[in-house]
Amino acid sequence: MRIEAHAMHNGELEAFNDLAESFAKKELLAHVHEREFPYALDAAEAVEAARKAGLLSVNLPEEWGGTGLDASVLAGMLSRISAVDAGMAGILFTHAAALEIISAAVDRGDCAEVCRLVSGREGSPLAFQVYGGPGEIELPAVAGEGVNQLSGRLPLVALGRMARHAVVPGARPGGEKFSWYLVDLSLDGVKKSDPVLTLGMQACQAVDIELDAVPALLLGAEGQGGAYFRTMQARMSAGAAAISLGIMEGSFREALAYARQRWQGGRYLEEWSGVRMMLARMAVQIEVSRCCLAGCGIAGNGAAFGGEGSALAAALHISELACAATSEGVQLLGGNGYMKDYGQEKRMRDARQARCLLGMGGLRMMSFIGTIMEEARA
Amino acid sequence: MQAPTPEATGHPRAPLGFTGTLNSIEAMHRLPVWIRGDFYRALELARRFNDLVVKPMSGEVDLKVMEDNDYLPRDFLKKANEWGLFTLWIPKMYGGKGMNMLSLYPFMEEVSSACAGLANLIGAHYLGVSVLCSSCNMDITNRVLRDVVKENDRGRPCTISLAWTEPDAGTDQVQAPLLPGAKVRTQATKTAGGYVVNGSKVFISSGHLSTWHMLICYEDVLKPADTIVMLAVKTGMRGFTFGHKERKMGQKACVASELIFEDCFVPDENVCFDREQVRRLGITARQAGLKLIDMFPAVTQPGVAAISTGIARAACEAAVRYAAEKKVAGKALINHEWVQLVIADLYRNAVSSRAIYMEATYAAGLLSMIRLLFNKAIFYLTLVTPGWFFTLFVSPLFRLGIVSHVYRKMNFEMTSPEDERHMSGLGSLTKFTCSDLAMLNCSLALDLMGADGTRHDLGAEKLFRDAKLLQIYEGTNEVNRINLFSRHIAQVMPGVGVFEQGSGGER
Repeated sequence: MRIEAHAMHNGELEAFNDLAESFAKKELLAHVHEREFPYALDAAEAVEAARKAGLLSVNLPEEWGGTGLDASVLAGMLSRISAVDAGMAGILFTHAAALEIISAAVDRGDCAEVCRLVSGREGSPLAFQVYGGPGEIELPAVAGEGVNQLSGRLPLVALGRMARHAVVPGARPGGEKFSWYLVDLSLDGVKKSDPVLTLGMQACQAVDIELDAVPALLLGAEGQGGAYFRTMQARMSAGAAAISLGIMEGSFREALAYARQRWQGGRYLEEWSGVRMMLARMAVQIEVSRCCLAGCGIAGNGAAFGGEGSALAAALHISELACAATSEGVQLLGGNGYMKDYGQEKRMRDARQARCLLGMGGLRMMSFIGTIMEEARA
Repeated sequence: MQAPTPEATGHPRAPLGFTGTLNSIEAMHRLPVWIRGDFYRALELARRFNDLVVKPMSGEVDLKVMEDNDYLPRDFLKKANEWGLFTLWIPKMYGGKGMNMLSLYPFMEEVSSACAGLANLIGAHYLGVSVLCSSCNMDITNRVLRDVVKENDRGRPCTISLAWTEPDAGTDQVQAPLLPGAKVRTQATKTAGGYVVNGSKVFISSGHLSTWHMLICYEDVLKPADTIVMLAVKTGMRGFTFGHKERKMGQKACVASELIFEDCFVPDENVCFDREQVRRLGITARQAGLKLIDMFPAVTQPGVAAISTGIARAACEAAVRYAAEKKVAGKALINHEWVQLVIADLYRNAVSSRAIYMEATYAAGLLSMIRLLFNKAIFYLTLVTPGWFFTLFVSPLFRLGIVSHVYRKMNFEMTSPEDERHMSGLGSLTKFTCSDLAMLNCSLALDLMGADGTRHDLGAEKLFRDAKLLQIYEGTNEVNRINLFSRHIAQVMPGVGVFEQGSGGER
């Protein structure tokens, strides 16, 4: 993973994090539940505000009009936003992941059309199957020479309803390898389902899409989909981990505040050592996660499995910790934690959803050890 | 609460021994053989009910409540009533069909494997029934339960809720040692001919859908442990209204209600338990009250454990189904060895969970407040006696105050401190173990299913949302752990304090 946080001026990084935090508080905090099912509020308004604040182009290459910042900056932004609303962080993550595929696949100086589509000036983020990885998602069939046409089913395309374009995989019948394509979702032949109701991160609405001979723009070289995915995964894993971390931090803050003011069994909750132990577990999980994420930035200089492996491992580990921590976050609030009047139940659902980012955990684990074993053989 | 032995040696005065955890072996010869058949009949009934009623409604009701939090599944209640489920486990002497109460647990497990929220609409009713029965007030119990039977026979679903939790007092009310320090607000003031109640209750399962509400409140809110009052409040009574419906994460079919009492007059005839009624029992009002709130969790907590087991099973089944259908890297997910290891754990957790709550079920039949019903002579006599005999010849006797007094005295005295301690600890152990296993299974299943597991239309995510509540209601799992420690471990540890200021953390 190309982490350049150390090269960035600390003040600049801090300023960017402050921007994300202030955006979350100003634009997201008041209506978090309204962007959830049954969707009293369309997330489009918040997305537009994010675009204006420059949050949609953080990892867009500078040549294409973006900020061109690296994964660590993106991760910082995502953790701060997900502490308030992981659904919104999911939207930004989805778009950023799609951009990373494009960035890995396309020669930046030589593709004006893609540049125009993804520059962010179009006003809509990119859709992407952000919860799937190679080997587990269905691949639409690709037909045609010169003009590629895609047919088949694309389940759980995040932002599929809101976005104009999607980055989708496809494979030629009988072919062993897959490629990435850019598809215009407004074309005839694209059928979208109603939003799929998911457990968490509901503001980041996903739809199932059916493609029927839809023209698509090949991204990069044919058959290189796996390589581009791995590049994207290596860069975005820190972001996925950061979302889980942000959710945990939000849960901890709320639990701590509650423990200070809730009276139970003759004293404040915080005075029960059992409660303190639960809070301590959460705090330790958060600190360990912060260390993991920070470690991703220096892993290339010394970690056993190299930087990329560190980020993949961090995403797997931190998302697991977040599931445990947010469940305790609900528990600490008792019955109140289970109700939507507090943020804890949403964080617990979001943490579980965030664990699916970039693919099924078990498969990512197998892929992770596979890489290590290959390296060991070499 | 202090463990009773005064000397602070720091060593157990007797081995822990794990006594009383072989209830199943005791049950083999002490419980009536007939109950075995009842278990299978209850399971068969639950399976048919699931196929014809629960499964077709489950996802739809869940979604409807998400879309409109005011939606109440009255259709389900009507169906459950048509199937006789609200009277099936009411004892014959109170006009019910008298199926043995232990068979309710496997029934609840089975229905919960299809939908814990809908199952809880039935479970919450029997929670109310259990609390009413535990008051040992035969007259009011007989009148309320016969009203339930009569209304249900007329095709009007009539259920009972338990109104206990308050905005500022939840778990601490459920645990006897914590009750003295609880910040309760719902007060019953004695007046001529009854009580006037003011305050509110929250998180009341099935509140809006229930006709009767077993209200636990206090004459003196500053001395709750000494002044417990249990009242039977009927929907429609002046001064009693429903407030908001909670917006819950899961178990959405089972509404969690706010109940508001504003100068609500409850006549003496609806007083199930108060200081006056226990005055002549030879124990203090506090002892009687705490005994009361200690008695019914031993019966109701295995019910939570049964619901948990149903969810643990359903999570296992969902994962197996998914793994068999899903192809990953060219082969079925279920053919990957790492997946088989996960599935083995899922299966292990479900089976272990059932074994644990069944142990508590047997213990309930042997040691709890319902044990009289499982005395072989009483059991078989009740089995062969027709319902009309109870209505004509037994029911009128319940109006005599002396009957309730004798029954209460007998029940209170028959339950030795040792039995009470054992049942309370076992109830807690069962509740927190099974609900933790349910959550564990849901987490494992979702991990295995990846993003597909988070889709509402595939059902697994609902299990996850539903399961979390099991770790919270009927006392949070943490408090139940402490209760287990207190009842089964600290009991033999001289000088060990539980629920005390000294057990708090240091700043």
